[in-house]
Amino acid sequence: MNAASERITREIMGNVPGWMAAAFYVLAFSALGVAAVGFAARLKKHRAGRREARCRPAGVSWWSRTQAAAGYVAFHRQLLEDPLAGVAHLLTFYGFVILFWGTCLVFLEHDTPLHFFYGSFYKIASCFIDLGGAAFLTGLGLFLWRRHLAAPRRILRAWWVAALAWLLFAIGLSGFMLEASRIAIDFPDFEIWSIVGFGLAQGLRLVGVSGPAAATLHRWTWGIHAGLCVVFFVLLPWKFFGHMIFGLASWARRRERPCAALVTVPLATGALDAQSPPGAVTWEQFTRLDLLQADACTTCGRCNSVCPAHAAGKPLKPREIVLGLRAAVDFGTAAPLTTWVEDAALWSCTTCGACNAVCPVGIDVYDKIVELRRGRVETGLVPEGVRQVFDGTLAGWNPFQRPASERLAWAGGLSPPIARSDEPIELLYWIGCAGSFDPDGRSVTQAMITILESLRIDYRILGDRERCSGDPARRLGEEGLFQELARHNLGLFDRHRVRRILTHCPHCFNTFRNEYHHLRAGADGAPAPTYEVVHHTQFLAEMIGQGRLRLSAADSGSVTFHDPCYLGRGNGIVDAPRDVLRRAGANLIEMPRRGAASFCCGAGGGAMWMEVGGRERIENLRAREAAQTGAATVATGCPFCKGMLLAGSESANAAAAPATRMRVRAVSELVVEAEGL
Amino acid sequence: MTVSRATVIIGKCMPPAAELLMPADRAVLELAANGFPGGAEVYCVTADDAALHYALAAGASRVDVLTDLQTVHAQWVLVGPGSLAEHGDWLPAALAEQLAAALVFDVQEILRIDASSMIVRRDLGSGDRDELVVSAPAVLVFADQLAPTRYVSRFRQRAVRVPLGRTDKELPNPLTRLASDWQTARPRARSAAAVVGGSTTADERTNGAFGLSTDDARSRDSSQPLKADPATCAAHLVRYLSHHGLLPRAIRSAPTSPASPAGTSEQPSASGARGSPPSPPTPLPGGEGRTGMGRGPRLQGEVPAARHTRRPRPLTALALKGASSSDVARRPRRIGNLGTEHNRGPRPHPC
Repeated sequence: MNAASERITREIMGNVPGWMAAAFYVLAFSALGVAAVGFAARLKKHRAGRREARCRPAGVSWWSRTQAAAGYVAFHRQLLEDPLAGVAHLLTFYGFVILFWGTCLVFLEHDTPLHFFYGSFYKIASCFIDLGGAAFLTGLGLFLWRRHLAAPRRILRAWWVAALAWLLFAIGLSGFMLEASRIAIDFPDFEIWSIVGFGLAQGLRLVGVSGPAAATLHRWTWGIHAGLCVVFFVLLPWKFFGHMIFGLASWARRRERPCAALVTVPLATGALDAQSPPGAVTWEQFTRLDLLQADACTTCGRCNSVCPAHAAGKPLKPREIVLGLRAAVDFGTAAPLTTWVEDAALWSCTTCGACNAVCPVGIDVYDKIVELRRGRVETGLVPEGVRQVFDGTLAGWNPFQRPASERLAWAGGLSPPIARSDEPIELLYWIGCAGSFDPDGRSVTQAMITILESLRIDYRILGDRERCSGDPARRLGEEGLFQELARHNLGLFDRHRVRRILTHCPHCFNTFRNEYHHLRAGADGAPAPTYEVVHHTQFLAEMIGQGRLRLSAADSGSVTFHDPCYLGRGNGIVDAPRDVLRRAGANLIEMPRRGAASFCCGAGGGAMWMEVGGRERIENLRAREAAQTGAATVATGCPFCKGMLLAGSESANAAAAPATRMRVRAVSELVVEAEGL
Repeated sequence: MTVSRATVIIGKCMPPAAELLMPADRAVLELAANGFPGGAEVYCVTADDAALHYALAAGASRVDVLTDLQTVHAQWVLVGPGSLAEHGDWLPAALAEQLAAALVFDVQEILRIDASSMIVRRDLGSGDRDELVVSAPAVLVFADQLAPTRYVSRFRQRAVRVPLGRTDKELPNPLTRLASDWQTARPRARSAAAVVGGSTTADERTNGAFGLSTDDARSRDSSQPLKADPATCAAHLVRYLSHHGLLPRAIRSAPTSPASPAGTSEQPSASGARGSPPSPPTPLPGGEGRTGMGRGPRLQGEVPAARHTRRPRPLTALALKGASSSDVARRPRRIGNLGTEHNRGPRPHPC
């Protein structure tokens, strides 16, 4: 150390009266104590929730999850999908981190025996801290500008959101004024390294604030800044400030699974009984992770902006479901959640998973909706259409409320090979309920059978022994019915020693692949499935790759592909259908919302069988989007999507000339057409 | 308020899955759960565990298989239409007899329950309804079209899946039971016009005596219920006619006879007295003048879908006539007849 270097520093709290400093310490630590108590109280409420089975795959440690979460936070990948919000948050976040680091340096220098805050380190740190402060204010400024002057629809117009943002902005601004007024007292030359503060100090001198006046200003701004910081400490666990802690925890603990898969409810373990049924009627009946996620919500509204039900003007707003849960926790009463979440919103959901996929803090939004539906089912409060689905599924083993005897009615003149009792099956073609009972789905089944027969594939079907996979029942909240159906079907798979299941329905695909085997979970988690599940587009791509299916690639016109939610976003299968379509000669034109960002057709989550009124129908929105591509054909890989798009395209086609009307076909049907099978 | 006891009778689960009660039975269970906070006893007419577990899950205090009508002791007996598939209308009729209870068919809704009475809404057919004040004891048979409003989840049904005592016993056919308690009929009156085709079964002679001619020979079925002394026979016949709306509602009691008046709970002499007869259901203001519904009695094995549409009766009171009645098209459905007679048309207006 030398005297010149030692001179390059500042006197921490030099101009602050002793009583102010003492008061600040008392208030600050009290405020931090209040915050700690607030966090502890919140954690206590989280622990009032149900325990959940392990949410991370076996072999993944907490440390690796924490590292992954830290990496996610550091690079803001998901946040940057909204560029303005992402950049603003990046600036605010790193600015805050730098300022916090600077505060820690000051504390260490002033309140510990350490002595380092001088000389070159002081200059560099001052510059860095000033840049951090500038980033902090720039980010907050962007947020406030957008909120007040250019707000997108999804912004939550709640006074407390703006108030908290302004509080942070005031803290940043007062910090710079504090620095500027300090520098303006005697203008040390080395303070030029505090580039923002020095510049502001020059501005103060221009208006006549320097010397003693600057010292007075410095004491006032110090008091204001300290007071705002104390308020900030107290509010740390409150509203969206808590996302700084809860958001990271939520992301670190998020459920590792495909987007479309629901977590299994342990009905058979005895943990649930008549007094503690599945589903949530009060907030304590949610899992601990769900309650943590409710506190992690930043109210950004991205979930609302991607929700198809919300886009169609239905009552559902996914963010409000999460905030309703948070409000119920805030009030801490045993009041039923029907007080906080209205029924019409619940039953509007199509469980497309877009909200889960887009949430920047990893909240499982539609899982909470399904949990609330389970609660409604257990209390008996379900709409008439939902009850009919359950009754139909129980009476005829299908949600279409058709007699079970009609399950093979699609076969017509075809003679698909039906498995004999206990016959081992190498490849099981699972028709599913849509493929059996829905007229639009039956043609998909017939096309697939035609392809299988033409390729001379050795396959079997189960015929009328098939029962619904249970997906509609599960998404509608009837977990008991789903598990009954699943256990029956699993018994069939075991009896026939099924090796591979081919299905053309993404809902059956998702249920078999991602959910069934969890019913066999033990203490060590769920065993791997004993069978492989393949979607028909994957199968066709595989046949093409193996050279068994040679498509002529003759021009089959312009086609746009609608990614089914449970296939693209739900299970990451995006390329296979497109590969098949190209090989079939399609001129692919993409819709703006495609792949994992696809827009729902409106049939999922049981919405196929019930209607919650909105401004318009979801399928109309998607059909219009498809029509706007100018493609002659909309292709899809789901019989439900096909039916909904057909319905939705009626209005679009009504105004079009016959030659330009858009067709809707499944991928398998287009392959049959292309090959003239 | 004293909570009265209720018993619910339900049928078995519907084929082919045999896991689901018919909607109307479920609705009756729901009404019982809502109206009787202590829970109702539920009996199933067959040993159907799925039906009994559903009843438990729906809030029944106790469930059992109905093997003996004598075990039913309640002020209110709510009969789900699913239970009638086994024994027809005779099940509620027999219960009403046993309990000396009022008997009301086609109940759609229970509007209010008091200590000893309730107000029910009854379906008269063709969209017509009325409301009755029914005093306990009463047997209420609910309409086929009833639908439940609350859903009972599969989890709840599984959660109450306790072992139920299986029994191979079945509810004895009430016809047989009633017949065994009654004496052989020895009608005194004989109308030449009533004899058709040489058949001289008791019910034909009785029907003929009251101007209700038949046109097909009756087998000498020993299970016919009209076996009693003439007074008892007349008492029950008047009730039967009243049920079919062949008598004006104003008639509260049958013509005087040495025996008790009709329209009351006249019991077969072998059964002994059962206390004071129940008062007939009282229509609420606004319901006067309405005659009984055109609903025919449900026969054994009859399914709701095969039942005839009902038509409202005209309001004119009819005099009991003999065979000169022009209304030959309206024949009461004969007991045990599985629907061969379908000509239940509206009564021509006497004006």
